[in-house]
Amino acid sequence: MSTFSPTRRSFLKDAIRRFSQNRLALLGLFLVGFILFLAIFADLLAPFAYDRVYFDRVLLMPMEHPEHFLGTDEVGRDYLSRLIYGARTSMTVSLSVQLVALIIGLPIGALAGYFGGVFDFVISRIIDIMTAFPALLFTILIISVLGGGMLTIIVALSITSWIVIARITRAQILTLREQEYCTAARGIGASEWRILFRHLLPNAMSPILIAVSFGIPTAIFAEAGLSFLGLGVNDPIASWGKMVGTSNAYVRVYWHLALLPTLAIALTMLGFSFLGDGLRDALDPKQKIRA
Amino acid sequence: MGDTLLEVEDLHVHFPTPDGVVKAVNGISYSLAKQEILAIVGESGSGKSVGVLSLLRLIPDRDCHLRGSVHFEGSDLLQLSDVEMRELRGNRIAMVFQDPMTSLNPVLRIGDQIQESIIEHQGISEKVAKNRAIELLELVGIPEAEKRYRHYPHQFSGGMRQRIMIAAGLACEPSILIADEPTTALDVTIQAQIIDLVKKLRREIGMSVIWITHDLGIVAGLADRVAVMYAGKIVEFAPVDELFKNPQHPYSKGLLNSLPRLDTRSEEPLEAIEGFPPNLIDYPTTCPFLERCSSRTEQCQTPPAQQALTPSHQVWCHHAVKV
Amino acid sequence: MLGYIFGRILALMMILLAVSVIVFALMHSVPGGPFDERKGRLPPAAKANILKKYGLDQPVWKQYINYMSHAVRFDFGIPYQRPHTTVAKLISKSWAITVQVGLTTIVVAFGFGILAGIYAAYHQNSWVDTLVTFVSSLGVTVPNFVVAMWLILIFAVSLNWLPMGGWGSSGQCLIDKYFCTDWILPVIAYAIAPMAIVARYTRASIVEVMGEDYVRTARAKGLSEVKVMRKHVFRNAQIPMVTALGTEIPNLITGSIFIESTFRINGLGKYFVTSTLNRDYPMIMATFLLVAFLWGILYLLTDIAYTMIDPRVRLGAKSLS
Repeated sequence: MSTFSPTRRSFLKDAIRRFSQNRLALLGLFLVGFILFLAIFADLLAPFAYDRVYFDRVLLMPMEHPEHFLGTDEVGRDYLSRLIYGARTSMTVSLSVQLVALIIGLPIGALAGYFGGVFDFVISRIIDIMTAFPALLFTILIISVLGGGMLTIIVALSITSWIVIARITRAQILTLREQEYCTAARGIGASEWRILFRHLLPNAMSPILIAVSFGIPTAIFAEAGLSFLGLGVNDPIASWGKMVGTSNAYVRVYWHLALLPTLAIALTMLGFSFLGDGLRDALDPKQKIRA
Repeated sequence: MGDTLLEVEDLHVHFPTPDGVVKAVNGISYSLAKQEILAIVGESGSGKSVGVLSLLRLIPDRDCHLRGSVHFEGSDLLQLSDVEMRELRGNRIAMVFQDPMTSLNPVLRIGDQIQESIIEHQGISEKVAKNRAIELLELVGIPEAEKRYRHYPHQFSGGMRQRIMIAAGLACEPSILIADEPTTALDVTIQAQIIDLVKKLRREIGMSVIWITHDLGIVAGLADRVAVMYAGKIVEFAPVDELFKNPQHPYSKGLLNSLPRLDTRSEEPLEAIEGFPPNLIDYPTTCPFLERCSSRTEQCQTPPAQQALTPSHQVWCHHAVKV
Repeated sequence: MLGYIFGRILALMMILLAVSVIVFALMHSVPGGPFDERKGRLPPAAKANILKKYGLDQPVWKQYINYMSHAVRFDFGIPYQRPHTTVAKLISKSWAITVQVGLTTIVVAFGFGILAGIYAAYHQNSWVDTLVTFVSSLGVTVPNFVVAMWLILIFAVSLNWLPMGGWGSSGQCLIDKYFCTDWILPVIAYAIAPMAIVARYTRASIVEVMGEDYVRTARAKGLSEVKVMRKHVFRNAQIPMVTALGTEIPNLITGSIFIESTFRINGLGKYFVTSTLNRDYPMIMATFLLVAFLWGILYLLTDIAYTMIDPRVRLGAKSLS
């Protein structure tokens, strides 16, 4: 074991090289880039507004009407536009949830892991209780209390997601603080805060980054799933999950209503998980199986 | 020495890899007599382990090419069918491996692991096999054998586990026991116990032993004859006393000089052999030891032939001196 | 061992208590209950009457104690939505269907998952191996309701081979005297993710165990290849497979919500969603306690299963993590 913090630069260079040699990871990056592009430029890309209703153009099949390339839904909204805006909903929810989870979970996990004591005890018990039942059920409970809507979903998902980040950060800091370069830093009189932020957190970042990259598809799934069940975003906001849910009643004839949003969900989740796999293999080449 | 039991002739073991063919063993020949202990000595990568693993064909056929012949009890082991080979393994020729920590199955009781080869080869009942397993545990010196029979590997120390490995090897009373660095992973005091055990068993059961090691130090008190291997070839073959008194190959000399000795002055530094063994993919056409040899001459550009110094002492070096 | 299990059950009780407090507090933390104006528009007097009937006019802590004192006797109250039955009855009725779906899925997922994993481990880098890897990364990533929709589109809509939903009109599909096809699509959609994970775990652990020294020892003893596999490889490969079992079966609990909703199966998952939509507190509370209990028991069973397979594991010994 080296008594110095492992250097970052060559490690990063290696990681980028490993990533760029991984074809699936690059495919993931491409898919994610495409979805983000749709989400950001939805207003420019979508031919219609997501809530524009044509009462005389209800349930059109794809190509049936020249203005509606992918048809219309059961109340006469352009399906292509709804799909594009769905990307925005999906990305907004999943990225904000992971951001909030990181902002809350990282410092709490780091402090609990580094200083221990009563704070660590309390945080550990909260983690125990929160992992005593499926996170999704807890999210549903919070939504049932707060009512649906985009903001509620973000809040509800953040409440369950910070736990994951806090747990991983805490475990990382716990193992790292026993390592020699940490003792060495303490030996030369570095302050506790400096050790935590300069020496420990940067070295704990790989697994945390990997957890975030797998947290995004989890959040995408949660938003789509909740909306699918009718517990998610409210009308008229477009959500892929909700589109799948409502399509269930029409699927016998209007198959496109079910097929298109499911493809969107599947491609997005595949993209993020390929990206996550690639990141993990690049940052942590030793660990092969996703636990 | 008595009758010849095993005759290895011109054995080659080559591994095809994406980078080229790794020539691990390159034409070794030796014989093993009844009740003899033969030590094969060499550094890691010298082909000593691969050489004996291939006797039992324990390296999957698709991974390696075998050439030469291995005569044992009237047949050539390299020509046997898989089923015939399997009937021999653990039955007529048994093997003990280097690391007793990983060589025993952690989830099976040790009794079960000792008796499974008896049940496989002799088709006797579990009950008879159990009695035999307990006898074997007593034979290798495990106290309270009856109780210990039911224990799992993690409940034993390293030395005890190696005794259990030996008991499992002896289960079918094989005529040859191959021990692949059986004491390398053990403490020195435990090493001595295992060596004494094997010597005792050789006398009591009357089996022959091939003992693979990189440590010339333990060979002295154990083996009858020693083969020194280097880069997949035998470079010197002699009775143990002869080798210690009159080593001829520079590599054997180097190995002996790197041993700490009690009878020399402590100021003299131990001699290490400089350099590294040759690349086994791009095998040298010269004497394989050339690069590291301090007494090399022009002659060494051609590989040396076998020279018999005495009927029992052979060496593969251009500069060997007859006494 | 017994002491350890007792300790674990005690810890589980503590967690159930904590869960009940949290759920109860959350449900009462916001104004607006199941009988607020939005839904029923009741006259104030009638509303007060109803609130009194359900004990909702008392302080929250009193309501909680009241609830828990009944709950320990398995009396979870009356669902707001169906006043003519009890929560316990409703749950045990819908639960039977959910368990049927779940057990069939477990059998299918583990049966095929293990077979596929073994095959892939034996034929590494063959096209079957690639296929298993591909299908499993798809199965792990794509949500089950998406897979369910695809199956419906292909086999129910396009080919018209199988029904789109339902779990037998009697709700007793599998043990009915008639063989029916209702279960095929839900079970496949439900099983694909755990099957994929089991196949991955199986493949990885078998490949790893096959390289172990003790497998070479077993071969050196002259055991037949079948015996080497059965006795030495599979026994050890089971250890990571139990991990898969332990993590995947609890995940099935949430999975059933989506499957039941997609295929219109009247199981517990579907009631959970409708009671959430209607803020049916007694139902939500009871479901939560049930799930937390099952979740805890399953993890305990997994840990016990480890000790049966691996003699090195001693329960209660301090773990490293």
